[in-house]
Amino acid sequence: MSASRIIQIDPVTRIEGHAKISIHLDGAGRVKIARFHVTEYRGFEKFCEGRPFTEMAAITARICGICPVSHLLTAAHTGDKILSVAIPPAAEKLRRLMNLAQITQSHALSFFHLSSPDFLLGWNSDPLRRNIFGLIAANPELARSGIRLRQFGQGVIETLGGRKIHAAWAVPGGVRTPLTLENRDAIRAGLPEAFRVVEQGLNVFKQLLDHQLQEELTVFGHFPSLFMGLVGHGDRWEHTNGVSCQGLRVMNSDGQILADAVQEDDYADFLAEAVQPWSYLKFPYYRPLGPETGGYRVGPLARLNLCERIGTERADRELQDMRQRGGRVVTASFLYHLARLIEILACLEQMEVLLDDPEICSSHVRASAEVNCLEAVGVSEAPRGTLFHHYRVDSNGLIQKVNLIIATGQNNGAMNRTITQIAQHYLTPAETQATRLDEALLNRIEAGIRCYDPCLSCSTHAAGFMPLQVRLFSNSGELLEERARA
Amino acid sequence: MTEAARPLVIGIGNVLRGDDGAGYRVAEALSNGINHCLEVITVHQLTPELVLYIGSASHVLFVDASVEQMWVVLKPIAAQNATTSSAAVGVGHTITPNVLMALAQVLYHHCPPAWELLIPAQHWGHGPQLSGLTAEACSQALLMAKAWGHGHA
Repeated sequence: MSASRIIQIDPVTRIEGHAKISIHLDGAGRVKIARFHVTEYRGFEKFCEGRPFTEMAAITARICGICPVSHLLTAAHTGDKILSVAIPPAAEKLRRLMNLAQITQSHALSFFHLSSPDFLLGWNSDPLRRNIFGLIAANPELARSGIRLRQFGQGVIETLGGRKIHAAWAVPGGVRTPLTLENRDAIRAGLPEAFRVVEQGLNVFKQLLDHQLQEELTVFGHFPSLFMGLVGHGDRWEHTNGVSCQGLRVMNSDGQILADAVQEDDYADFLAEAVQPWSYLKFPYYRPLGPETGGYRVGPLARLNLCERIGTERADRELQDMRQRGGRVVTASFLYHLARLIEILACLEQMEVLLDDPEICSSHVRASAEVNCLEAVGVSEAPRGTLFHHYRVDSNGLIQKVNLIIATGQNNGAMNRTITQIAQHYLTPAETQATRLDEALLNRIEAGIRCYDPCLSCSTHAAGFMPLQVRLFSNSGELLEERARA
Repeated sequence: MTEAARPLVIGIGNVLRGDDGAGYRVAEALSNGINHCLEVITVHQLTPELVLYIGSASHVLFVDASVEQMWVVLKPIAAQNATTSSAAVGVGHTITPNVLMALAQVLYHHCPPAWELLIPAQHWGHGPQLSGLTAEACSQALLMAKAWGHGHA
């Protein structure tokens, strides 16, 4: 019997942050398991200790250059609870508007620039071409449209918060500045083109799904799991924990609701995190089911599975189309891409509704109070999934302890299952005996990870506790040395 | 390029990761100055939509921290074609000035002259503090950025 071999792909390109993947073969040369290693360590939680809670929005927004708004809004919401205030209605609507813009621009980057080259250029394409330049060559209008859509989302964020978004426009108690009528109209003026772009993306992607991307639906992360996320009143799609939100929901692949209207303060009762020695990234799970069967997915696909309806006409039509393709509860992770496009559409429609609301330009956007609560948990839906901020403060409002549970971490188990499924399907024993891996396989494995659009810039934390494993391999893939430290 | 095209300065970095924020800080200081002939953008990292700003700029200066420099360096970015840039593409976290400039060329057929102002950096830990070396280099880099702006305004 031959010795087990380990094949590494390092790094994964076109995802935020850095990671590597290892594929473990059994003695017969079959894929036993594939692992997505996260080796980048951030540790912002420790850094926050001793700082005023009022600075948390500004600090956490600097954790990541890809989704600063998600941290900004979640930190502000958590701060609201430390003040124990109900923020003015206009402030809540403005925060919602900003989150919709954030989801739009983030999903636009993921779909049009990071993932479209995979779909449009094919798995066998040269990796030097399978990128945005290859996309421009194949479909320049799609590339330009994607850039304009992302800029639209960024532009809304800048209009609301100023170009220096890290200056923390959202603050405990509300937001710093109201929306002017002029700026409202400017945002509104950009909507028609944004609608055109996302519908162009939907048309292109659905045609691909109908033809050359059939196999991907069953191989790129198609498995039963739980799903978790916020749900609005009336079982509507939700992205912000405000007056329209009923709380968190956990659902299984059969559509059975395991937990409903769960309040963010109770997250520790139903979520737990497992640690593996080969990754900085933890493995969250639904506590009542344990780590083996309690793995869940978050993000656009989860949000669309959890709700009954989005609540806007065009997005609901697309949601029904997706359910016809993948079932009431879609378990194919490849359809995360479709879910992103549907969410962009939903965001644009909901922006339109908010901009028509006369209250959106109210000047009363901030409530004031002292510290009234020493511990608070805030949650919101970041583009990649549910984001938790948990702060404990002293009576002066200085941070004593912080816990951040970010979306990419919650999809960690699903990402590992996805790359294992892809490797098992495409890496046959005969191929594993070769010294050179097929580019198409590597492309597919990377694309399996990109289904989740992971952002690792802020994913790794738990300062002082994280185990580290270092492995040394020969050119032939034999494991020569292994060192571990905690 | 329109008549109103202005020089563009893009400062890059995370100001909570020590010296990583050097480029951001220099650009921020530049924007707080009096030179309104420049457009100044500060970003955590380079992202594709910046190509829209580049597409309407007369000249571009990227200001960034660099672990490879011993002193502040101002150097032009060599014009590259898409094929060459594709080798370095990592759109997302790892997009580079070269890739952005090549994107401007292939998408909008406009690739203004561009430079990099690289600031020596050595400490990347958590916190807003710059190391002594980098703090000193930032002062020099700011002067060089101002001179660059005057030269191209």
